[in-house]
Amino acid sequence: MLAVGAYALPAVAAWTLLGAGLGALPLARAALLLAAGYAAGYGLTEAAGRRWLPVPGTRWQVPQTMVVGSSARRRLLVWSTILGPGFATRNPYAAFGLLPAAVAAAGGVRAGAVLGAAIGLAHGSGRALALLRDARPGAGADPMRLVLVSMYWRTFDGYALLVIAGTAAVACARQFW
Amino acid sequence: MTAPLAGRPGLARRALTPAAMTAAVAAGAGLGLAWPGADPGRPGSGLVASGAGTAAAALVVLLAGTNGFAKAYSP
Repeated sequence: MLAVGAYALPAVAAWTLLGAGLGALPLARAALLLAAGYAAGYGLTEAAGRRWLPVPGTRWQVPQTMVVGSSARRRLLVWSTILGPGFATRNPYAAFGLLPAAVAAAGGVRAGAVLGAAIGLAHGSGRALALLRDARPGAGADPMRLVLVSMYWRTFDGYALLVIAGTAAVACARQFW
Repeated sequence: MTAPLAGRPGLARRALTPAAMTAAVAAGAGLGLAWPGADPGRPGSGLVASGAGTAAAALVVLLAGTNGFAKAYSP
């Protein structure tokens, strides 16, 4: 529970601030268009199993110098603060990149902040649970299985993005016509 | 016996993929049409509904995904 809380709290804080900030700007309509286009493009790419579009993000990882020789609590604090929100590390699936656009499309400071907080809670706790799952003895020992599981989730992610693209396209049609 | 059949699952998958993609988009469009909050007559309500919908759907993907991609996604 400590790990889940350590990952979730900074994630909720970061995403709430981002949601409130984006909600304060007049970006809702543009963000809705962006969400529809992004979901369609990346949905097609991932569902088809192609590499037409590279997943946006960074390959930066927490430097060893920040955690080597430090206590377990400090390591947890460093990792959770940096990795919990999800911006400053590798995200292998495209759906993560859709989230800022979805938050901006919420339209308003309050709606953006609430959505951001929900996203932060889900992302931070989800990542912590994955970490705890890996920490169990014998977990993830087969690299080939890991590759297959990653391919499965990439396809799943693509189809989910296509569903979102359909929803966002209808929302766009209602807003602009 | 297995060698001549080896390519068939791949062929079937390639044939089904466009149909499955179309079905996914159609399902999303249906969801958008049925969304009770997506009322263009109320300023902002459509945007809130669509934003909430896209975020909620993406959250499901993330939560489900984090259960599956494990070490590739964790430090």
